[in-house]
Amino acid sequence: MIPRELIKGTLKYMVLNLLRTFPKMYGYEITQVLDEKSSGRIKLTFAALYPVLHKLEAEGMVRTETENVNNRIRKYYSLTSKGKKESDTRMLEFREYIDLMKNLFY
Amino acid sequence: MACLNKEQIEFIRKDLKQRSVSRSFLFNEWVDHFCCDVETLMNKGVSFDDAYGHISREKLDRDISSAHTDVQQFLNHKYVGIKKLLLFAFLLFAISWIINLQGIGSWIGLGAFIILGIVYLRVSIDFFQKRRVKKVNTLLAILSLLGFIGTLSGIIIIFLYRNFGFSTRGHGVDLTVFGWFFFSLLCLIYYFGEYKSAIESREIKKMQWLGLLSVFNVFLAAISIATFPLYHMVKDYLFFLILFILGFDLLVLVILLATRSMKNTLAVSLILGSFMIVFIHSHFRTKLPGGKPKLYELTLQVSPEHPVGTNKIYVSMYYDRFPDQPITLPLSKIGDNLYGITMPSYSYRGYLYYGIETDSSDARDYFSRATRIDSVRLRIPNRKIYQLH
Repeated sequence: MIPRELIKGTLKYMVLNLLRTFPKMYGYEITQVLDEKSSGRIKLTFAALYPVLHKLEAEGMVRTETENVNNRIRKYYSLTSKGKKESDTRMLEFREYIDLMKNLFY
Repeated sequence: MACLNKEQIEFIRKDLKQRSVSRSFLFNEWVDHFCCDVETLMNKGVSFDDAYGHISREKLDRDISSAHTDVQQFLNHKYVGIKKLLLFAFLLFAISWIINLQGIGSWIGLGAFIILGIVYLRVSIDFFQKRRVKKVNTLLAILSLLGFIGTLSGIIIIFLYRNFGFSTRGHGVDLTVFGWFFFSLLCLIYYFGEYKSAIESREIKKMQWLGLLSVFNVFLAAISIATFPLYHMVKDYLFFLILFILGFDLLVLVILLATRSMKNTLAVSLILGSFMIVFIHSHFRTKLPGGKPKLYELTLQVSPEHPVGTNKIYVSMYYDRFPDQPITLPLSKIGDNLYGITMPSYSYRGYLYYGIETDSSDARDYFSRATRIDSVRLRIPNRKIYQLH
């Protein structure tokens, strides 16, 4: 399993990257896709994911829409135009950071 | 693909409500997340009861409680700057009242209110930016904007009146009190919403308390507004109302400090704003926001050849800007043939027309019968020697 601190520090970038790929996602879906893509090594809890989503929403990076799905309310998250632009920059910065880490550790 | 039916979803909702998470604004997401987890297990052939039992044990209430707190904390964090600005405004307000630098203090006082207005505007912008998070935020943004408009326009009008003699018919007071009313209403709606979504009992109690505080402020602001049309009936009791509001605000401020609740920016804005607005309409204001009105010592020397046998003479006067508002002031004997009074003037320019009589009613009628009216260019000289015949 990946340490929680590492996940916490990079979760925002994971979510942004997912929302760049999928037009809209709901919370549970995000946890499942990350679980699948990481072969079960990243298991997000409710407490870890939703503060990040709401923070992105407050920053204007993502917008939300609610739908009634299977008799319950589901909240979908998608990138705003500002979010799309800023996520490009942030992802670029994050990749640079990963390269730097690689150089430092290997 | 297993899909929960209505009864099963309702069962989960009820169970989660009993676990006291229903108050969180994350409740609907929590229910959906929970249902999805149960459905995933059911897809693997597990029965609803077993799947629900398993997920219930795995997912703890502290997960949602922790998520709720985290979201609130980062939302509150952005208010730190606003709070600093607010405290700075209050500091300026206090300084301008204490130092009384005749003119300089007035600008400091005005600055304090401009900063208070900026705080209201900043809160309004913040709610507007979050209008998509909750629909009610649009209403809160409008109320805060009205608070900003009322406070700023009111204080500028009061400032112009007290410093430059602009005729405002008391509308500055009305606007500032309306500003306070709208901001109180904002706090009431906001804290009621927070109360509904709070999870922990401590948080519920705190929001309940802040909600009640807002209700009382709405009530006090409404009473203050009601005194405008009823001014002539209630003017003798206004002092007590003002004294009560100021005392109440100070008490709440002390309680907020003692209970370490100063992080509730809206509540602090409400109390400090209410105190500042009511204070400048009280008798304690003297120096705010236009600074202390300039006081003129008007001394009249009566010609020794024509001594006046009374201890008082009366000066009737009006400013050229307010010809329909003459006033009559008694001048007391302060020496041989010398009569004086200390009088305030809010006007710096123009002419002061005046007439002097030994009888107060004669003085009041002076302008209706005088053939020649004396006038002086303001400022009034400190010593005016007048030949009273």
